[in-house]
Amino acid sequence: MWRRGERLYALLVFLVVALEALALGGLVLVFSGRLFGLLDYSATRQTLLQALFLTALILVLLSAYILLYHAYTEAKELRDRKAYEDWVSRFARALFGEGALPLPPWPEPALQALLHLRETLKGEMGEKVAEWIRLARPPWVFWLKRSWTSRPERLEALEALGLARLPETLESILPYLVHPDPVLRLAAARAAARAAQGEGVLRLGEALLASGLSKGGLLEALLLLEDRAEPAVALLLDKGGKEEVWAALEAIGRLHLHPLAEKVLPFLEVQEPEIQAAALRALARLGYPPLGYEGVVLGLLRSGEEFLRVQATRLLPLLPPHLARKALWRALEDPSFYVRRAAAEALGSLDPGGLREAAETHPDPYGRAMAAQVLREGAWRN
Amino acid sequence: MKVLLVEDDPVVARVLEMALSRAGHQVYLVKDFPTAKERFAEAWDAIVLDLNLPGGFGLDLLRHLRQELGKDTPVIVLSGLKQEKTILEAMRLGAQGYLSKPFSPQELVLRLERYVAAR
Repeated sequence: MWRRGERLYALLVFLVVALEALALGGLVLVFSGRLFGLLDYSATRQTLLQALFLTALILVLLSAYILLYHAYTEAKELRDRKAYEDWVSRFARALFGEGALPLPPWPEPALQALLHLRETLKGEMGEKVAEWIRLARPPWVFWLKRSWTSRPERLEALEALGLARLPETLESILPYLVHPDPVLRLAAARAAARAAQGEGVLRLGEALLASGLSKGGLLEALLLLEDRAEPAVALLLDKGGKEEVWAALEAIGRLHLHPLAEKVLPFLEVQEPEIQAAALRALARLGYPPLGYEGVVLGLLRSGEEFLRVQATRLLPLLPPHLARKALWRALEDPSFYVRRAAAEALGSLDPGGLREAAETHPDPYGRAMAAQVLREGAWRN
Repeated sequence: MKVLLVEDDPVVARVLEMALSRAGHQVYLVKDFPTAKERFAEAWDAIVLDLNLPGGFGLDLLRHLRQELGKDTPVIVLSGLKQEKTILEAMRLGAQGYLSKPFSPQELVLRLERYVAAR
């Protein structure tokens, strides 16, 4: 649990408290002795002065430590920043063939500069930076494997490996996806998602299934995979529980994984509103019509869950137009503000004339008002 | 070609300065929103624009350039933001291109030259 520098500070505080306790204990003993006439005045005065001197010394020690700590940290940060900028320039020049690099080992700021360059660049230059990182022989994999590494060091190693995106480090990261510490598990999922390439993506998918991460953590890992995500998403969709399926459905929509669109449809029928809503969102984001499931989508408009009705309403423009118009007209009567809002917006995108008609003649006054409001907003935006 | 580079990340700025200079272009770097807004009034052949800047959001600069200054200077947005909403908003405001990080400096230079040539 210790961060760098905290051990020394904790030791100092412990020393201060111990010395102060010693001084106070001494005073209690001497004053008690004096109270019962066992000690004379000069011995008591001497102990009191010693205690005062000890307290003053402790205060000076503590203050000096704090002042020196700040002065040293500031100077070190300045020095590191300067060294970091020098290394950035040196590596940038080498990338463009304008200068040679000194042979490794390189200092810590050079490694930071390389990680930042790796995070920034792709293509040929990105690969060149990855090679330099390998040349630097960073200690991160070793930190992950040795048993006595502290938690902050493990987190630092996982973050650095994520930035470095070296596929060969994936196998050292994956065991952390079943680590008992949830913070390390999440950091490992992030790092692995950045490092995984080719078959490694499927290995990551399997590790995510066993990780027990929350759906938010799972989704983050899938999104970090970006255009490599498809095999892992398909695996989670096929073999995952509720959390994994939810994350996979969200990822399909957000990453526009069109080849998996067909697999989303059956999830419209599962008896789990959050999964159904995620499936509706995914189809809407993909613009994929729910062929053969039109009745299911229309049935969801009568669900007791407001969020489900909102998502179903948003998908309606992908149904055949005659069905969609009729259902949207009816959805404008929904007791929920959000469903009426979704219905008016969907009607506006599908049939602007229908929205104008709803604003004038819809029998429900709230539906009419919502249609008019969305019309006004559209006019204002244009 | 005279290029204004609006970028607060020193690594990205350094790499782009080198890439553009090597391609024979003059590069002027600004690192924050207010300075960029001032310098937009000058004549540039092209602008490379980051979005998350100290003092403001890059898309507001783009809106200022197109709608208030009425300039059609080619702009490439270079940002770590990858949300579809942000990309669409940048294109709607008149950006010629949108590159997300990590990026290839050569690709950016080529695109920029193509946009300027097509102007």
